[in-house]
Amino acid sequence: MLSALFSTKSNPREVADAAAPQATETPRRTAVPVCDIYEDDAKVVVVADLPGVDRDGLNISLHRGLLTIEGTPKALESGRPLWRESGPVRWRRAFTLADSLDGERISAAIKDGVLRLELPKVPAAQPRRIEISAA
Amino acid sequence: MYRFTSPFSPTCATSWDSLTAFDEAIADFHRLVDGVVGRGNGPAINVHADEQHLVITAPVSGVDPKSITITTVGDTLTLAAARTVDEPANVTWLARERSAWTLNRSLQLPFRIDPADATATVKDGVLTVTLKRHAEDNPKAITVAVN
Repeated sequence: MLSALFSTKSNPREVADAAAPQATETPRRTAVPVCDIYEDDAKVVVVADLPGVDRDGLNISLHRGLLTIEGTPKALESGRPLWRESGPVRWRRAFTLADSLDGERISAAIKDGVLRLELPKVPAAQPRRIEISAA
Repeated sequence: MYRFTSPFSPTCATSWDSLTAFDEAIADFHRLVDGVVGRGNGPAINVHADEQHLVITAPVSGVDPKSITITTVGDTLTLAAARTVDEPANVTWLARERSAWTLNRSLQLPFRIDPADATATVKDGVLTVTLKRHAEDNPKAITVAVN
């Protein structure tokens, strides 16, 4: 019975017959978005994949050193599901910020479902060149 | 209950206590094979339909829309796309989770579509392909003549 549920058919026509005519939308599951994180001398950059999320559906908050990214994709699908490889999700991921990052100057931009966060380092955490005075 | 938590999970309980457990293990294996042979690391595809339309959606965040090609031959639709990930120079990587992928998949459509009436858009990193049912594929009522 279970193998029937997890059918390996990759043909929507065959699956369409098995699908319930009035399939109800499953509740949104919370998923963790994949992130690239890198740093240079002045900042840390977080790049996250948030497909389906626009500016209105995105919520970024910083509370007691915890940076939380939450994104709710817009529902683009309508009609009867014939073939599903992913259910509706809500994206959520949180990061604990180091003291070396300036929480007041975080900038965020989202474009084509890719979020880019720039977290500047506090001046004290940036490398400083020390000039050597001639004797 | 026997259960794979991940394809490479070291923690596999070995109590094969019922046929259901066996069934579930087979289903897990099929999903694992699907993941490796079918989709690879490419995006998940969903297909929705109503009486007149077929809507195919796939997350393509970070993909150049110009790199996406959609072709139809008969009742088969092929999606091809490639994602590249930016590699900034002179940085220290702290986490690399976003991967590059190529997508090349064919779907057999449940009804005949009109290729001239197909649209594809990318919005907020989601590809939506909308296909319309071919006029000749619509059900037609035949009136019964009364003598």
